[in-house]
Amino acid sequence: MDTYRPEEAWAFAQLDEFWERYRPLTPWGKDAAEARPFIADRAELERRYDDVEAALGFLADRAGDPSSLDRASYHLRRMPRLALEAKDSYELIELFQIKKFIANYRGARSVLGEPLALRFGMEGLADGSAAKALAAELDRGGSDPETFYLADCYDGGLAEARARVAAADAAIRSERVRAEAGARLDFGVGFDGREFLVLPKETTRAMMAAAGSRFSAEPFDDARYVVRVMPSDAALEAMSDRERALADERLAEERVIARISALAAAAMPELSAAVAATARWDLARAGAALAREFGMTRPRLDSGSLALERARFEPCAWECGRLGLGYTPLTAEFRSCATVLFGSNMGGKTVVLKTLLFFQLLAQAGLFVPADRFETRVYARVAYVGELTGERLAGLSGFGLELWRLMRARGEDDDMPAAEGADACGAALAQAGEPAPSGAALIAFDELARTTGSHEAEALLSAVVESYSGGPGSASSGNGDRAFFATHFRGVARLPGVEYRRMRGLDREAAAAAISSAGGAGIPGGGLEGRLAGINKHMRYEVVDDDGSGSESDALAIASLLGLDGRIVERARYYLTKDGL
Amino acid sequence: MLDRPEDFVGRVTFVTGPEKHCGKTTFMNRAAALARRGARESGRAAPALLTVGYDGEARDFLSGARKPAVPVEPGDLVVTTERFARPCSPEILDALPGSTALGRLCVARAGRPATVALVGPEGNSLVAWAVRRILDDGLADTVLVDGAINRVTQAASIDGARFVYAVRVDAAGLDRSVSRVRRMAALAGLPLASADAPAGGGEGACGSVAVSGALTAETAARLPPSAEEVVVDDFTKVFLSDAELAAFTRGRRLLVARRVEFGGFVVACRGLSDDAFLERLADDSIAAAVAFNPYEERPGRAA
Repeated sequence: MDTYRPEEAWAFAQLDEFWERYRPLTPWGKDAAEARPFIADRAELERRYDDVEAALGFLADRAGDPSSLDRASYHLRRMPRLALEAKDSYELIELFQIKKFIANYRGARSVLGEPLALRFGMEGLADGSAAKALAAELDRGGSDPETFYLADCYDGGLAEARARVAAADAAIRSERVRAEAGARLDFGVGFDGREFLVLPKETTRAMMAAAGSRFSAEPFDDARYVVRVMPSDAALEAMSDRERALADERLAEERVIARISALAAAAMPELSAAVAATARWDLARAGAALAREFGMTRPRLDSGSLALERARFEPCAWECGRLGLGYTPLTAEFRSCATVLFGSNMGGKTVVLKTLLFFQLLAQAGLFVPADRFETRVYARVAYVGELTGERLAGLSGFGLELWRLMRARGEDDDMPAAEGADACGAALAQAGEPAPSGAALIAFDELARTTGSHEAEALLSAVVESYSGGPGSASSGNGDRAFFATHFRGVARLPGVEYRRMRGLDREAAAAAISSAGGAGIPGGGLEGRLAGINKHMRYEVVDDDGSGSESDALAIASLLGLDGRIVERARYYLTKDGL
Repeated sequence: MLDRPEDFVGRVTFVTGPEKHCGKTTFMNRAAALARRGARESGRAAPALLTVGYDGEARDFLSGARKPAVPVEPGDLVVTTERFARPCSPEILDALPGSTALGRLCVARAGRPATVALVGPEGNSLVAWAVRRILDDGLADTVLVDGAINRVTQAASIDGARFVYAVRVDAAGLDRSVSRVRRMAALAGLPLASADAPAGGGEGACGSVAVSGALTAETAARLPPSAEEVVVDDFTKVFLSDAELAAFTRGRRLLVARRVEFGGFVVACRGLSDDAFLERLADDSIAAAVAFNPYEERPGRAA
């Protein structure tokens, strides 16, 4: 797995909230999820998809047996993190963790059944193996398969030392009970098991005068003393015996720990393999649970195009749900290396970019995707060029930040090695079914050059689009990148090899009717939320071809719907026509 | 009160206090003895004993300067490092996530009588994790936590949990101690905000304001004059002195989003009598929540 992390693309695609629904249960599964994997190895991705499919089959088979599913989760959830390196001596707590792991590993295998367990590499502990010998030894210590204790049976010396400790404890206790009874009988003072008592000065003086050797006293304040029961000679003797027995016990414990540690060290290769197999099953189960929750399907990684059918960008769907708005899944196919996507404000073109990255990142995390169909290929990188919510980059203007991101996406930044590979984009398309060239990137540009003047912005945008067109003049031809450009700028150059699309946008007839019914005062509904809901209702979130013939965006209509003064909207239309835009 | 087994059996009690050496651990030991007896008589599991972080006793124990402070009996549960638990011949039941400066922590069952040093997790979330683990797995239903007052927040998330407040009072610090007790009584008695109160940092209708984080003299001064009702997460977020709190609540209603059950005060008087403390406290309603030094034998107050 590559260590490359497409952090900005991840943030732009709003994956965090969705990622919280992906819930492996073991420590290693959680580690893997927290690492937000980005896998650029197609074989590894296909293997992971196969795993998810196998786990889906398990979940479907056991759908009528909830207790079985509960047990499957139960054992994974109880897996402890354990030391996997061979050591001369393990701590008691580490031996406990190994025992607990083995108990739950056996439980998990039992729930899965032998064929499925073996499919994930969860081998049983073989007869005669070091792991089996270790498990048998650990099973001797503890009242439960998941607890551990250095039991007397491990070592004759241990049992003998503990018997001496117990005898000493009994003697100490007996002496203490006797001393407390004497205090009550002689002085009416009840210690009741308390280590000390705070007693009045007079009582203390009487106790010390009559039986000073049985008690110790120290001042508490000017009227009271702290009084303790002094151990008797027999109790002192028992305490000494106890200390000697404890020393012998420690020696015996160290012998036992050394012996079990040697078994554990020998079993580490098998335990490591069991941990890896368990983590694999855990990730597959979590991926399958996610797939069931969201109706997700297996991505296809053999496509020269990028195609989505009823693709649900869940973070947006949730947000729409919270706002009471409708959400339209995306259906679209993009064949070229460069696609320019036009659309008005609120038309959904940024959401399309987010959707594309969301799907690609999920697919390259080894997970299914929430669409009826998603066809793509594997990219070495997924990049985003545009603004991110709440970001600050000291010392750089907005334009500088854009250019910095642009250069980084193109591998022209010092921190990012230049893209590798030499296959031309066209060749990559022709070789549908082959892995993407090493170094190929999927890049989303959201409103590139938004921070500069429109004339220069269109020129810059045109040049960048051209560089991804795969045509003879393209600077980056041959590296297999696929780029998407969402933009307002209608004047961007029309270039061969580039797809031009637009969001279908506002259903102006329906919107006009709404305006008309509201007396021309915009969509009724009270407040921004109601007006946004009205616009959403009449916005068509679909990607259609753009032949370049359209000129007017929906901005003025939207301004009108939002309630902007009608006279201003009319004057804007006048200027739009006057300038021939 | 706080001197019978039934005061502790079957519940989670956080033993807190305003400072070190205010008698928290000593009181917990007495509470554990009572709980142990009550659990045995009622056929319940022995108590679980925890602390938060590692205090002076643990450090002193490391240097050999002091003996470990918590006596345990067979069957008791403890949360500490395996090495510190070793004297009680522990059976390890679980390991806590992460580690402390003194080693990894475990939930262990004592196999024999011993005195052990308790070491607890530093973070609130791990304290709650350990308590939940003990309760949810049925390892024990009586839990005693020796912890600082700022850990009480965790008690709020555990059903039936409550806290007691241990205070050491001497003649020179009587007024200060009385002030602390009054302040804590006021905080523990803050009413619960209604479910529709504004969330942290928000402003609701009818002059209700939710304070996110600490309510200090400074944040109080920044509250809008129209805020008649102020909601804090829980009482541990209030950092106003007794006098400041009294002044604040004269002009506004202070509420908590989460209520933590209060078990009472444990007052250990030194250099003055219990009656002198009560006289200075001069509040019968608070006095009803006061228990005195459980290690002291007094005429008319049985052990």
